[in-house]
Parts: sequence; C-alpha cells; structure tokens
Amino acid sequence: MLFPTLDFGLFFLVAFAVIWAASGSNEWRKILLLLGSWVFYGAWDWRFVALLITSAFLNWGAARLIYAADTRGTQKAVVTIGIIANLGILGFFKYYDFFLEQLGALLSSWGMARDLPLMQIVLPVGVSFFTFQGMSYLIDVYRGRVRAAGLLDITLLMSFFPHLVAGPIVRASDLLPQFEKTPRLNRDMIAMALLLIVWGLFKKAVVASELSVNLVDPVFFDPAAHSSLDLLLAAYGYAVQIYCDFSAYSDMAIGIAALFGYRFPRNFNQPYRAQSLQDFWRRWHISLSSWLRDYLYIGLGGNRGGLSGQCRNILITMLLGGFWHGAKWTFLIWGGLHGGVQVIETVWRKAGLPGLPKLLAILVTFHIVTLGWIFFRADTFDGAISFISGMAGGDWRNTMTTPLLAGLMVLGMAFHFTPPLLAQGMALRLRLMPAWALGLLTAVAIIVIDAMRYEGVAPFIYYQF
Amino acid sequence: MAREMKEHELASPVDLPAEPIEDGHPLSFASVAIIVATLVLLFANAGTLSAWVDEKPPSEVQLRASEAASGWAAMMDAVGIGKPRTALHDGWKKLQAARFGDEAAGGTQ
Repeated sequence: MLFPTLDFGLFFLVAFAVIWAASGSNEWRKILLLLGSWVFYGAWDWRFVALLITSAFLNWGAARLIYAADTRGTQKAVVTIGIIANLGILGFFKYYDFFLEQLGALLSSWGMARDLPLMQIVLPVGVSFFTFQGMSYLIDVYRGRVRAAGLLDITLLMSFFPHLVAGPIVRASDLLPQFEKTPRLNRDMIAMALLLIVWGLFKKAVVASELSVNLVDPVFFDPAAHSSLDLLLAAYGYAVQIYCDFSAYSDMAIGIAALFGYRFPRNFNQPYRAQSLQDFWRRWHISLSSWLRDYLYIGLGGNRGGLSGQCRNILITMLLGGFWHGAKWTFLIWGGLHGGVQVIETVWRKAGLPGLPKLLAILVTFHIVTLGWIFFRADTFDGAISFISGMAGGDWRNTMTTPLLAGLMVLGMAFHFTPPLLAQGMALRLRLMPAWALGLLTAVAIIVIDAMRYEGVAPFIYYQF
Repeated sequence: MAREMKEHELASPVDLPAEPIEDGHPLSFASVAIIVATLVLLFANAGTLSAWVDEKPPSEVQLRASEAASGWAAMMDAVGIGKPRTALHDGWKKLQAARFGDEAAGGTQ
C-alpha cells in the first residue's frame, strides 16, 4: 500500500476515525494502531507480518533479559546474541543469495565450480529499517538509555505503519515515551502535518515520477544509446529524483504520524546545500546517518585512536552504510566513495589546510554526491562505468530533456536554497485558518497535484531497501 | 565535523517555532479539515475515484462499484465541477509535449 494512492487514503480515513474514537484507553488505542499497522504491512505480503512479529518478540525478550541480568557480562552476552539474531534475519533475507553467488564465482575461478543452493529469497519490505530499529533498541537498553518496554510498545515501535517500510528509523528513545500516554493533537501539528503530506505528494507524484519515467529510467536502462549531454542530465535528474522521492516519503510519514499525535524526527534538511560530504550526511537520511554514527562509528572507536583510527572508522562505517542499502557491489562502491571523500576531508582539516569558498564547496560536494548516485542507481558496476565513460564521449546533443524536465530539475534544486524554516512559517499561517478552509486548501492542492502527476504511482526508491 | 546542528534541525518538523495553539478542540479541527478535504475530492476529483475503481480486480461488487463511480463522475462532469481539474490536466499535457528541439522524452526517440 503506497502513500500516494487512494487505497492508502481510504485506509488512513478508517484508521484515523477508529484510532481517535478509541483514545479513551491508551492501551486499546495502541492495540488498534498495531492491528492497523499489520493490515498496512499485510497488504504487501501477509506472510511477512509473522516475521515482523517474530522480530518484535525477539527484541522484547532480549531487552527483558538484559534488564533482568545480574552482571554486566551477562548483559553483554545477551545484547550480542540479540544483535546477531537481528543481523541473522537481515542477512538471510538480504544477503544470503549475494554471498552464495560470490562464493560460487570464487570457487569457479579456482576450478571448483559447484551448484550452490540459491533460494531466490523475496526481500520483505522494510526489513532493513525494522531490524536496525530493533538493534538500536537493544543497545539503548544495554547502555541504560531506555528502559525495557512492554511487549505491546516494542511491537508497535517496530510495526507502526508510517515509518515501517521506508523509515525514518525512529528510535525507541524517541517513540516509546510517546507511547506511554494518549497523545494530544494541537493545531500546529495538524497544519504542519497536512502541509508535509501535500508537499510530499507533490515531490513524489509530480517531480520524482516525471523525472524517473521520462528521463532517468530510459537513460540508465541503455546508457550507450544516449548522448553525453543526456547522460549528464540524467545524472542530475537522478540526484533530484532520489531526493524528491525519499524526502517525500519521510515528509508524508512524519505528517501521517503527526495526525495520530506522534512526533517523528526530521530526516532531511536541504542536503544539496551541503558544503562537504560530512555536512551532507548531517542533512541526508539523518535517521540512518545518526544511527550509523551512534551505533557503528562510535562503537568502532569513533575519533579515538588517532587520525588513522578515525579514518579507518569513517571508511568502515560508510562501506557498511553502503552495503545496508543492498547486496550489490555498486552500493559498496557508493559507500566507499562517500567514506573515502570524508577521509580526505578529515585529513585536510587536521592538516589545517584552508577550506573552499562556500559556493565552490557546495558545487564540489554536489558533484561528488551525483557521481556517487550513478553507482547507486546503476544495476551493475559495468553499467555505471559505461555511464560515466559515456559522459566523456563528447556528443552534446540533447535527445531527452524537455523544458518541463529541465524545469523540474531546477525546481528540485531550488528547494534546497529556500529559507530553512519556510515550511514551518507557512504552517504558522495555516494553523490560524478555520478548519473548513484548511480542508478546502488541502483538497485543492491535492487536485492540482493529481492533475499534474504521472499516470500510475511507482514504488518509492527506498522500498527496495 | 563541519558544524554543529542547530536546534531546529534536530526537532520534529511538526513542532513549530512559536507557542503552540492549545485550543480546546484540536481533534475536531483535524476532523473537520479532513472531512472537508475528502468531500471536496469526492465531488471535484470524481474521475480519479472512477479510474481507481476500474483498476480493481473484476468481480460482481467491482462491476457495480465501477458503474456507480462512473455514473458519479459523469454527473460531476455534467455539473462542471471537474472542469478546473480537466483544464489543468490539459495544460500539463501541453507542457509535457513542449520541446527544446527534436528531443523525445521517455526513450521514444
């Protein structure tokens, strides 16, 4: 069930009415939210609802054991087993076939070819998100940052439908305290929620879909058949598409959760105005980058261990961050590129070398990020190399980009250079409107978007992760 | 790291930078806004509803729902409520068809 569809719209209307009608009892409210979340997830594949429940049981039980353990050693053993179990779920569904294929290729190169038991495993939507959420919960309980939650709360934490399939990765410390009492709405939340939902709908249904269908997909499908200019514009187009696609999901998730009374943290903050790769990762998929920083980078030693240790930790973190996106070498290269450039930035800064002027720094950072997106988007390493070498082909005919597509790319970039609090400023005005006028304005905005949107709705890019 | 995060960059976007309006009936406010939006869409975007019903797997119920939805869309068209949306969609199609030169979007060259 995709957010920008009528199926979801109807699901939301029913859920909104039922959940708020049951708000006399917080426990019943949470039970109904949980059932609604399973219906939402089950609309994609009912079989994996059992996986979601199993994962929640696993983390609930492990957290209880950590909480009840007498010694630090026992706690450490339980948290380690819990993390391994979460990684086992993720590894089986996401990486089993990949590792077996690599093993097969290795054995073949040694003249020991074998038929390995590949399983063509179906990847459960959102598995990367809810397993990361489970691991951070266990680590937070182990570190004493959150208390071990009840079964209902931890199951709802992992299943709550707005963030379930594509994030943001909402941590236990953010959401569990909100589950403890019946949430209260206020006009600010409602106005901003409706604005975020409509804004996300526009970015996804109009900007991302149009760029994807009419420029990015055809060019990436067959780079050799396109001119250098087409390839360059498709690379820029994908940079705008992935931002508009993924940030749209986050915006809608934050807005939908707010209409149920819950606050999700910000996940994007104008990433293409970043002045360095480190700055980029403070603005892009913030819930993942802060997760990687808190649970992986710092766990590896962080800034401790001197410059070489810090650089090693950055590189490992970004490589694993790349691999988190999927079992493909192109994701590893993407992570390696981001890690490598951040290592250079760290060494540069420690050496006391002067920084680039602001505008030049933004331009350089954006182009490094766009180069990374080529690997991220390409199906294979060879496809990415063919794409990049094609850009140097010297054929500067435009055979793909129409005025509309060019305009959407400019618009997608322009979003990054508006005042940071523009949306909040608009919401401050919207909250003063009468409810009927806010409803009318929302409907008119949706009709305008519906008139512009590309026929059909493609899944969000991050559904595959 | 390049710089410290500012407070507004870390908080939830739904917490606005002003004193919240805590009037007595925010749920009524939300409900009215959502109901009005739904009704306006039901009247002014009836074609989308009809197209959605038509895409559902065929069955006795779907057939009846499809007839009802297309009848509703035709009624709204007759009244003229759907005209602004149709005009906007036609304008958007013209924008999609505009070209710098002889480029063909969608890989149809």
